[in-house]
Amino acid sequence: MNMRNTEQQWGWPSKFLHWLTAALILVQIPLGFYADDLANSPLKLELFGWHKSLGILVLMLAIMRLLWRMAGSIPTLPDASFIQRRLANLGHSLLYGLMLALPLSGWLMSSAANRPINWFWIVELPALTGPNKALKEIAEEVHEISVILLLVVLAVHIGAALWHQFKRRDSILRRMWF
Amino acid sequence: MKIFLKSILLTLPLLCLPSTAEQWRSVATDSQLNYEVTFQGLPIAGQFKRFSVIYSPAAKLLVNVDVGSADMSDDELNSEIANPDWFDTGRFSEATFSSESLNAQSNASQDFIAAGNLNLKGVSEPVKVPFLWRQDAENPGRAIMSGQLTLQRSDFSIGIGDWCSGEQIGIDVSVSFIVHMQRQTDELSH
Repeated sequence: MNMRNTEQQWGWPSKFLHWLTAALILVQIPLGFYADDLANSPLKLELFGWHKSLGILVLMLAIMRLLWRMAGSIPTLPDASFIQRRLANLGHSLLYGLMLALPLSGWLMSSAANRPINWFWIVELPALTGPNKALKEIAEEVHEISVILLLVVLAVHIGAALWHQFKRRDSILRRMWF
Repeated sequence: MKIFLKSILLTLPLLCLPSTAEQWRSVATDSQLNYEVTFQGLPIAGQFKRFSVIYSPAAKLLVNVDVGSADMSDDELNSEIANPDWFDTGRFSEATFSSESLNAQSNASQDFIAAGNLNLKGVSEPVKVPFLWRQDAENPGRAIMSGQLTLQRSDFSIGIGDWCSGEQIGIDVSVSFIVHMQRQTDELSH
């Protein structure tokens, strides 16, 4: 398996990071909603501890992926109309934007609410801000709107991959597969 | 009658003189009573915004804390710690420390230890409060007392139920204080 991305195939680092992120997001969304619903308890704090740790991991992976994209190239989009290409690019840009916005707004929310983040109980993350009620509320709004948006964009992303695979029968899904 | 009045008037200043019962009181401005606990292994700080200290050198140290004034810089945390699981401020709004003995530590004349009972959340436990007493060189009527001690929240049933384990919120609570004190010269001055 090649390391660098080619015109027709994603390299293994891109594939690995993509599927690892997919698995993390699959855990993160229900985990966040579930923990948020719990009454305050040690379990709630522990689950949020995991949610924050995994979220920061997603942020790091997203940054790595962006750098890796910039350092090399990415496979070309298949033949499609101008509008379809623009929509595909918009969708992927939104996914990256949300993979940055969700962890960052979560981190900001924690800092503004005076709660430290112990990343996987190993590293203390610096506070992004001191206690700040207004900022906490804004960050919370951003986090909540972002996750709804992510659910929509993910549905489109997965739907599009399946459409390529089963309707259009092209190599889009296969080139991200192993 | 005249003599009687005269004698009263003459004794009045005596009552107002600074005596062995020299007393100091805390000045709310600039005074701090802070606490720190671990949140998932990392420190998280709070402070009591309203408290008072009365100190009679070599005699007594009295501390009164409005537990409901505890502030952890976040509305959710503040309402959580007021719950029955934590401070239960609805039932126990006040904490007091009253010294039974007050001793200078051997190593330095400015170091003291007040041993007494801390009454918190309806539990009275013996506690030793070490403190440093620094009188203002320019204004002998002012002084700063500061110190630090560690308490176990479990001794006072703070953080009960699932919180007992101390896994997410640590058991040890570090309490520190910097209190500006004012000498109470006489009854007429305030």
